[in-house]
Amino acid sequence: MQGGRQWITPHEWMTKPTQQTEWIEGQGLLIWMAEVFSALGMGMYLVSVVMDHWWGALVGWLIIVFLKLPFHFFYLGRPWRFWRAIPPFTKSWHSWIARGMFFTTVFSIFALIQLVTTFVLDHSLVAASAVGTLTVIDWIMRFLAGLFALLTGIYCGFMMSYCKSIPFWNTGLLPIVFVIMGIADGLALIMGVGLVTGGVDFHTLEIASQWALIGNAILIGSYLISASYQSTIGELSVRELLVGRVALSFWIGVIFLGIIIPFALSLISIFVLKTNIPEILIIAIISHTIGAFALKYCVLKVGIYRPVVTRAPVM
Amino acid sequence: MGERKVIYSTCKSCHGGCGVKVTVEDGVPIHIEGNPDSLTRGTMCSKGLSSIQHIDNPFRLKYPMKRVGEKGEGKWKRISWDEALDTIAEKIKESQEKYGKESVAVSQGTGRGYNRYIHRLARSLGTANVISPGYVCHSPRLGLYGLVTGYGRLYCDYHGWGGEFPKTNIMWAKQLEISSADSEMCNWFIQSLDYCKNLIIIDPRASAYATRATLWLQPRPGSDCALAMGMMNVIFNEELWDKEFVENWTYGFEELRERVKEWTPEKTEEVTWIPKEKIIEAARLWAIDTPGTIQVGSSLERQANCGHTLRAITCLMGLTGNIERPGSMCSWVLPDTGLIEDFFLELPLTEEMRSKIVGVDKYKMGAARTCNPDTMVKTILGGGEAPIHVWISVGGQQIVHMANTKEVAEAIEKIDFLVQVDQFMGPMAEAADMVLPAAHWLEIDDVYDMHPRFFISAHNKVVDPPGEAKADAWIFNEIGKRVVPEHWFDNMEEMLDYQVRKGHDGNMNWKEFSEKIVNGCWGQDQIYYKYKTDYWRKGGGFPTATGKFEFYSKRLEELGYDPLPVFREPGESPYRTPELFKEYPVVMSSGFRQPFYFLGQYRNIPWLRSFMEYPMCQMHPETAAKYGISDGDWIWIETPRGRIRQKCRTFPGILRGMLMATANWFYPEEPANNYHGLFISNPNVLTNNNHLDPMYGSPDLTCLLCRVRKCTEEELQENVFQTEEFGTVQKTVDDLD
Amino acid sequence: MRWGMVIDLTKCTRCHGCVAACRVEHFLPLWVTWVKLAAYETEERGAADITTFPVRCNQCADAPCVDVCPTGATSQRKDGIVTIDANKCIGCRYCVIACPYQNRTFIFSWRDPGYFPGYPKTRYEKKGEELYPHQKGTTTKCNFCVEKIDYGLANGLTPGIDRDATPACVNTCQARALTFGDIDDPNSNVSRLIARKNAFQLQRVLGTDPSIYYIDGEVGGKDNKAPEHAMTGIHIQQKSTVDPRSKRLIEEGRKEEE
Repeated sequence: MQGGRQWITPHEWMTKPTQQTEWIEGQGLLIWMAEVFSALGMGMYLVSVVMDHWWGALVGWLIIVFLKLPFHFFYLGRPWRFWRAIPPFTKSWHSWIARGMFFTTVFSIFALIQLVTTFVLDHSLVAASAVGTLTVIDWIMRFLAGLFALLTGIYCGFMMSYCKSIPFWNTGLLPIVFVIMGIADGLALIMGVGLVTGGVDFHTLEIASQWALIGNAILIGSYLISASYQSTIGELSVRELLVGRVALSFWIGVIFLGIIIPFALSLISIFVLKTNIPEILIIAIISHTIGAFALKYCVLKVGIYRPVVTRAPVM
Repeated sequence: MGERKVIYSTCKSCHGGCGVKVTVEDGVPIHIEGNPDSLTRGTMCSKGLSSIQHIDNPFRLKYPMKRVGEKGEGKWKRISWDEALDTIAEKIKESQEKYGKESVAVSQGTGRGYNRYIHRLARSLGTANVISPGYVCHSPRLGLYGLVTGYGRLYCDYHGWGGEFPKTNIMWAKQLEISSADSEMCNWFIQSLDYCKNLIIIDPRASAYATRATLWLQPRPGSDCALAMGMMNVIFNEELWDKEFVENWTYGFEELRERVKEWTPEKTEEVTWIPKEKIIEAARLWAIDTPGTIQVGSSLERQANCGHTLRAITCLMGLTGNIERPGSMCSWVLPDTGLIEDFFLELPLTEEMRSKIVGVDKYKMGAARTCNPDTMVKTILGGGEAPIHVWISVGGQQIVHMANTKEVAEAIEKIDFLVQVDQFMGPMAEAADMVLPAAHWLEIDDVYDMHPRFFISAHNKVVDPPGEAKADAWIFNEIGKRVVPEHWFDNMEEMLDYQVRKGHDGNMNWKEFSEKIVNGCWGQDQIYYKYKTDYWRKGGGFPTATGKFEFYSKRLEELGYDPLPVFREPGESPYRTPELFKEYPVVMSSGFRQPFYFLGQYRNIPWLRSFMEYPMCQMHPETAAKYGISDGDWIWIETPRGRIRQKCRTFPGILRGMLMATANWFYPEEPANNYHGLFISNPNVLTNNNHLDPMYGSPDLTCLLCRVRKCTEEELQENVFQTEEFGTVQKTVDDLD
Repeated sequence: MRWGMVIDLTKCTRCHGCVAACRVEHFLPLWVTWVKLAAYETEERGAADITTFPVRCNQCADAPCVDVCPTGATSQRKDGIVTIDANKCIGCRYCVIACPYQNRTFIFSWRDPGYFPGYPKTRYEKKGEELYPHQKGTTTKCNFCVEKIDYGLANGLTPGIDRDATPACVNTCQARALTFGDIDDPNSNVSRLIARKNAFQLQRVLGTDPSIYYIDGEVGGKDNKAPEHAMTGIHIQQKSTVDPRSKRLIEEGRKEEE
């Protein structure tokens, strides 16, 4: 928006803190979606691989390949040139987008191989003599795909935290917040998948999920506190988040739906009902997923530029 | 790549004068920049540069058209040039036979190099009813400088040719630096700041240099005369006047001294709202650090005390000897082409013609050569015999710039036959019976001579005008030829040759001048201290009745005016109308100008409109807060005449308790039926045309009272604008049948 | 060699000439500006401060946009100018976000209705598509008129001194608020200004090391004696009626002035 219109006033984008719009308004909503699905897909896949849940891993892979990537693709001003951003077609290894594209591509390939090998092994589709080799490959792929899933999830955070222009993002905590939130998302989603496919240990997941949520709450708290210390603009972002225009999304979306409700429901499941009722689980999962969307939305939305122009020292 | 050529010309996007270099490829201008080998050394502002977008504007008028619907309905029919010109000639003759020669008026917008054609046309037709915005812009200055010094063309010497630049520069209600008003003079001024000791800004609102200037005074709008009196009082009290000049070359010193006695710094502070320390300091700097110049802005001429304000300021110049000294106020020796204005001065203004000028009996200074437009409006609306029946209007938008828009529009609608020569369908064109398409300055050959200063310059044609658009000069000549052929020319070239014929010892012609581009007189050729030579008068002296610089004017006394400057409150002010002030507690001025617009122009040039889409008014944040207004709000500005809306921008650089509105605003993108949004935001809807300057008939455009209120949510939902984004709905002339 | 600019805040008059000159020079689409004016207006302790900051791409030595560009479309030349290869740009807008000076503009494909929406493109626009095309869906910014600099250097001209090798905004500035030159050369016009006038960069703390410097001060306080070249009317073009003495001094004066 800031490109064209100027009024001869002090009130526009350069002298006052202005919210970034490029990545959250209009077409920018696609970036929001892509980022959410990065986190969900990454979390889902990681948790599934650790839990050895094939269906979960498949869903994680699908989210990355068929949701995250297309959203990114359609956001681009020149989509058909997307290949230019993927190493080795680009030499710009220093760009977090290039890195991210690389991570995502590699993840997609490794995870696909893993999905196939695991499927083959699970359904004993190969001769017994090949099982040994295949198992080794499977494990290597699990490790590599898991690693790249983690990188795929974490690069989004680094991409944003690199921006010196936006102090609220320009902090080392952001990538960690995103990763932990992604893992919590994964834990929630895999329970949903488990409801359909079976083969998950709900109790363990509930406990893990609770820890992830607690970790998340602490992280978000410290992120906000440190962001508000770092600069006045960071403080402004935090204020926007807590009491400003984004407060509703933050308190209802991120805190209430994203953390409190899932946490409360899992407490109820464990200590009150002592069993898992699918309806409650589904509510918790939906609520948690909304929280995931809300978190990225809020963080993108309160990205406020540092004003370019500040008073000059007069001689 | 196509064929390229470079053409040099002169810009006229404001009053003009800057050198221009245009690159044309296959007949299309692809690049425009300043001409490095010109007076302005290759610099240009946004208005001139945007010409490249202006000339291709699809809304340009391309053909002569006559109105087929009601006035303001926007229904037009294309006609041929012959039909148009013949009709005009016929209407002129008809009206002159029936109502007398004076029933034909010729009008102009601000000076755009066609002044001399307008006056020649009027004089050749035997009428002196020229409707010009001069009475609110520059005319009073010329007349009063003329009265005091005998020579009206006093300009600030920013050139250094005499060895000195101004030591003290005063910008009085003027933003010379943004160029819009005084053409290439801005360049000289900015350059002279490199040699300036004191820069004093007198402006209620911060202009570009205000906060970095030596001194910045913020007077209450309309109190400038008092400030000048107060400064003179300090100069008298501290005996700071120029003894040599005053003793030998001035008249009426003691009388003036007596007159300003009452203007103690305390009293001046009370009237002008300027702290007295600042007034004293300004007076001292001005009187001690000579030479100095005072650049007067036309805001002072948009006040009903303009005559005396300018008298007082002129006395301030004389008191300190800042006349004809290098680096002070000077008149210029003309280049060898002589006075281009002779083009109309050679046709005499007879007593007969003068006696028929509208307003001549009342405004003896202003209406001595041109009509008083406000009197014309009042007379037409008064129901008696209309003074004007045929009105040939060129370039100007009287309907926009005159006080009390509603009355003006009503009066203009009553004119029997109004022709508008213009580039676009503006409000004035919508009220006309016929519109003629005018060419842009990139599309014409002409002599540039805004003011008779030290140079003239050439407009060289760069591209062909769109459709059948023609140069203003061609239109004047064609009309003139059809009615009074003895005063006009066979063709354009002949007319141009005639204007520059005196150059090169009488050997110059247009072609030669056009190649030369600039013809001037400067450097060591200029003469300073003319009053000490035989220049004006054998044995020295000023070309006045007394031969002196006249503090006391017998001429004014004869005309029935006060011979000495006197302060008079504006028609509406906190002190003159305290009751009204209670109801309308904000002092208002419509003096806010932006560097990328020129008066009513350029809101339809996308590049320029992008800088400020909606009209903006400024208020101090504290004043705005008092009325519950925040930055960026649309607000209502109301006076007893009506109300308008503008967008409020709070601005710490403006006097508290006042509002400065953007003037002359209409919305070209709005449809014809409400005169292109003329009544939505134009501050002249608010101004008063009842209280006029006794000498010049100038209304209070820059000092009145108003009240402000934030537009409510419901009001903002109203369908005020019929066009969402400019340029999308308005019909071009091609769309009309 | 590193090209840079010094902007004098005391001189800028907000005339917007630089913005327009840039648009003319580069055939910019309607809502794209490379040069911008940011108005800084405050009041502290009763004293107003009205300043206009002309802002454009800062051509940072350590440019975040170069670092974030995933395709290498944005790159830095040896002379410090950061350029964009529109053919490589995928329109990810990462640079738009990451630029601490907010000086990159994305050309939206749906936000360029031409100069006159709903009407055919003007002749000038059509010429622009041919002579200086802009790709929709890519990002664009000030390039210090790199074409002019390259042209000038190839023809033995000095950017910042010779007009044909100097950015359009610098040439057009009536207030002469902009000075262009080599900031690596300690004797250049810009380096001398930087050294003499206490120049500063915007957002220096970010460590981007912009090539654009600002200087500020007061108007006035100068000696009003005119130098000889001013007295001769030397600023006026030579083709005109200049008196003989001026004619003789024109060449010397021009040199002196520079």
